[in-house]
Amino acid sequence: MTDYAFYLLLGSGAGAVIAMLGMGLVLTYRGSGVVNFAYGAIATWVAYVFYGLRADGDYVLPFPGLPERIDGGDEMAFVPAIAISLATAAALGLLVYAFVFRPLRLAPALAKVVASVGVLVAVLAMVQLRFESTILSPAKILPSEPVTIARDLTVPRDGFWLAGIAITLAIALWAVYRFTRFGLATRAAAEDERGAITLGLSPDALAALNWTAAAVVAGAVGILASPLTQLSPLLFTALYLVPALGAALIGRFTSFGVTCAAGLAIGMVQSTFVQLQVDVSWWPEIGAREGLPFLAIVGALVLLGSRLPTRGSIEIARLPRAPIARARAAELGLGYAATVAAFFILPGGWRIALLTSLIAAVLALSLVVLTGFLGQISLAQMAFAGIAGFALARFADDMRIPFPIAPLLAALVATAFGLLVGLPALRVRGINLAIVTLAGGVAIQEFVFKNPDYTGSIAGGGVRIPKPELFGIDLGLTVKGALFRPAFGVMVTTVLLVLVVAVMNLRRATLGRRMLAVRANERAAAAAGIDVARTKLVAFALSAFVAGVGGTLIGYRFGTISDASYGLFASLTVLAFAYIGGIASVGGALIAGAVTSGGIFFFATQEIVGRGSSANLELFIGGVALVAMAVLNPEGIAGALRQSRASRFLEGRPR
Amino acid sequence: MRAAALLECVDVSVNYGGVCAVDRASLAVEPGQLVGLIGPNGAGKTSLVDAISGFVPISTGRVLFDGVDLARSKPHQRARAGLVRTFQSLELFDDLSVRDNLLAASERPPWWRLAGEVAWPRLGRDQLAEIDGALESVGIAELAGRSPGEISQGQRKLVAVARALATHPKLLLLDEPASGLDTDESAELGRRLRTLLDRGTSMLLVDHDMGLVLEVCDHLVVLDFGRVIATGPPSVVRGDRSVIEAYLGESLADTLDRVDGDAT
Amino acid sequence: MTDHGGALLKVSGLDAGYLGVPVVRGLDLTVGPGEVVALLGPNGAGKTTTLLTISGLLPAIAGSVKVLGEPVNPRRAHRVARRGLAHVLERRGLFYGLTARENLRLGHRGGADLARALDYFPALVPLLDRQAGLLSGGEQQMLALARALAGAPRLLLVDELSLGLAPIIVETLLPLMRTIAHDTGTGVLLVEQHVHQALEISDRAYVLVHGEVAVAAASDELVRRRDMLEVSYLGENAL
Repeated sequence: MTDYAFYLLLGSGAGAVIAMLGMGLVLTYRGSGVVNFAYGAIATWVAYVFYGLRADGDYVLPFPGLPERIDGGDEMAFVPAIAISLATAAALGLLVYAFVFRPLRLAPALAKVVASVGVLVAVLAMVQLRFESTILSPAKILPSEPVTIARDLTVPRDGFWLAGIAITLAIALWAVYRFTRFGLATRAAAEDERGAITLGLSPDALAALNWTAAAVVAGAVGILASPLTQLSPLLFTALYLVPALGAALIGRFTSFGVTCAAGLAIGMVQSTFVQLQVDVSWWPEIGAREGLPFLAIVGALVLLGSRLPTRGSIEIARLPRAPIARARAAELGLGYAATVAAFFILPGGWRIALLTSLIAAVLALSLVVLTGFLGQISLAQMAFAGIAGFALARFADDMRIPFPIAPLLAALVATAFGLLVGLPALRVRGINLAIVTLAGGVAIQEFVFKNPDYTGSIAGGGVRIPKPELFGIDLGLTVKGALFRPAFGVMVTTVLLVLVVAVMNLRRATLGRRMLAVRANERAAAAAGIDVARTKLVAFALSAFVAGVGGTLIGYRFGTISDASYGLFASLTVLAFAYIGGIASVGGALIAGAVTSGGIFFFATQEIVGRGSSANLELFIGGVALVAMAVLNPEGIAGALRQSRASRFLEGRPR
Repeated sequence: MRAAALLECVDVSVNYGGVCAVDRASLAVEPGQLVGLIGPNGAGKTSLVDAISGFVPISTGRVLFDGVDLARSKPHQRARAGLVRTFQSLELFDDLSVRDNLLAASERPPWWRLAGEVAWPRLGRDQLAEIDGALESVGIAELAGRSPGEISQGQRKLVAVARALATHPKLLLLDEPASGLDTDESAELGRRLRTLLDRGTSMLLVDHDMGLVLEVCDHLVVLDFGRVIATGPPSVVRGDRSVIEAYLGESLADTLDRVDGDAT
Repeated sequence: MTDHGGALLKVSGLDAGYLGVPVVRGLDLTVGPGEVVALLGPNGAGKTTTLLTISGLLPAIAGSVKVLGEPVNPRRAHRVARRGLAHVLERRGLFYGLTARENLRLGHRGGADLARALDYFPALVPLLDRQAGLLSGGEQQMLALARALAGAPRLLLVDELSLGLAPIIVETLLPLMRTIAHDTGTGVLLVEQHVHQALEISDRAYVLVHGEVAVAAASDELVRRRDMLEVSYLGENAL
């Protein structure tokens, strides 16, 4: 038993990090009604700023175009470094609120989720752009000498320090919210914004203050927690954000005390899994750690029925419109022919960029069905794609199932997972569902993709996917010396065409009408005799199928795949670019493909402007564009084009 | 012998976290009847309609439709059984055209056609004719191709009624269909409702427009503080001065006296 | 009483509604110091919309609203409240998760006398540490009024004071509006469904029908001339 006590105590550090991030999420939510998926990224940025200052005294600026860094001479002392870093956190929180979430106050939940994903993508891309070495092993800040608790039980003491800080924070936040006028006002505004305004309180100012405070908490966590493990860009998002969301949900996004306790508990229980693996033969070697927060989230949402408390605010903005596509067969045929021709004419680099765009368009189409038509958000699309990718390896390589059948079967496996993740959608919706899908995606990634039994050893570069072949024609991208073969491009273009037609038809079919009815109003849909639950499941299944097809295409393109091919970050960028293109229309998905990172738009820009762009810069631009889209034009590029066409049409005609 | 009721609520109560919104209310709608449910603001009318249509759970009592206890039916199952409601606030499907709004409510294709439509979406001629019929019956056939965002408040109300009709309801629950309509539109709506009744659709009408309710209903149920305080034909309920004075406000009672006085 | 020059509230040519669709059209309305004005009309006539627009919670579509001589900016609606406007919302706008005392504390602003606000509602005093959500409907309405008075407003908007309350409670609360206006010089604009009682305690009344003023007159005149009211409520063809 001492072993378990040891691991429980050892986990107090991670638990404290989860607890503090969870409380920060609660603070942000109570202050402004936003679930900030970029919260971990704020911690990350501040951590890099702090360790940058400590290492060489340079202060790094996150704005492209301005000087990248301010030279601070030598390495900076601890106190000024921490002061500057926390000030940076405060400024970042305030800026994000003022420029992103304040304008989105009245926007639907979808726009807020999407905007926070945009912030997340932009901040993480900026970390990669600004810091050459992104994997750091910072020195300990808190005292970490071992402390002996009982005979045979000696643990480092920094975990206790962190836990103490977390508990102190919980008490402090509780007291502020309980006793101060600021706290009362925040609680009041969260319950009824109109009521607060009629008393002369400004919900805006309250939100800004809470955002600032939450960002400072994130910054402190970033600095204090980095020495626990290695600091890497995705650390706080991948490792801690999901359990923190779980803790916040258990605290019903209201209670600091419960959130703190839940966070500590999750971290400590996760830590004992190391010993469980040794003691329990069937305990999974990989992924159980990430499975726990997923179960906590699903349990809190589905079983306990705990939801984000609804905020008494006035939501007026609508979701992006989902128009019926008017494309004629001739237009589609022409587009198809032109794309196929491009694969024969264009040089190699262009072909790869075009492929990237076409595959991204397939993934974006999967979100058109789910988000555009049904109005639900998934942050796990890449996980569905990955399931299909690894299933394809199994079917095609191990079982030797031939080409069109193996990828279809693989996509059906993804469909099954889509249904599984969609089941919680029967009980939860909106932001809550986004949280479930994020946790589910992370769990699939850790549990399935990182498991060598399913996905091959990382040393071997992952699993092999045999080349597609149909009627004796080799459709592979590379065949013995022949690189960038057009045949592969033709195959991908054909798949995309079929899916485009199917999704366009779906919009005009009974199922599509039902999805849009559910999206508009679940109550009214049910009152009209529509089975809301079944409609949702069908949409999740179709969406996962399309994403699965995209996953198999990714597999065929690279020939070998590993967990890195379908990461969490990729899921978020898929959503980002799909939204930029226009989440609710087929045309939007095609535009999303074109403007995706590494796609035809950025490649063309590079070719014309000259070298200088990088994947990270493109992602940063994507993140910022996503925020801008969410704030200024929720209908995406496709919507903007539609509007300008419509206005030209109207202006051209006297009324 | 009394005809078997189409809808029967027996001692129905609805509680919201300790607050009793409906308190042991009973009412019945017989086939071919138009029953009005009235009462002051906050009397529990919408809560009762929510309970009948399955959107809030009832804490006591039973709701019987066509002789079947609805305790275990979900809202969409009740709608498919022919118990269809409209909402007080406008709840049209904004991204669908008026015709598609009606289609989404009326079509019940088998699963293989649902799948087939993704390859080849098409609409049967009889299906479209049916939709046009429902629109025609409330007098807005010309709006079929429009989007709900482009039409007037009154027209949107009529689309909501037409959408409910497109599902071939046995009983239509109308929750304040006349709110937001002007006097003429309201009177026109009343005429439409009578026509529908003649064609065999029974209705339960909740509305504040006393002119409309007194004009078109066969039978009235008066609700206050969640309790049924009077039932009967409009002439009886209207004549019951103590009821009206206590629950519709003194001045309106005076008003109604005058209306009666002028009529006789 | 109707000193328009020193009006606390002056609404001119107001079009108000949602998403650019006017529910109220061309409304002119004033409230002077110490005056109780009733805004009447059938359901859906646009009374609540009017109040929301006056306090800046809903942007006006056209026309102007001036509170204490200054235009209302809906982007900074809380400033109207700080200037001296209190609005008791239709569903009271209480914070049900907070105690009665905490609710009052949030309504309290510099210079105002909390004890005096409570003087009007002695029944609340023993309930101050109870959660607002656990109070009865009548107690909640008293708390909402007391909270509004705790800010020492110069203009008070009250929306459907009687909503969901038993007649006996309405009979005690409504006349208080008269007393408050008399004691403090506060102007009161009242939306009320109990027409008769509202006319008894108000100086003037406006009757809104389908978003337009059908009748505007002194309350005692309206009491005498009921026919004017009945046309508004039941429509001409009802007579």
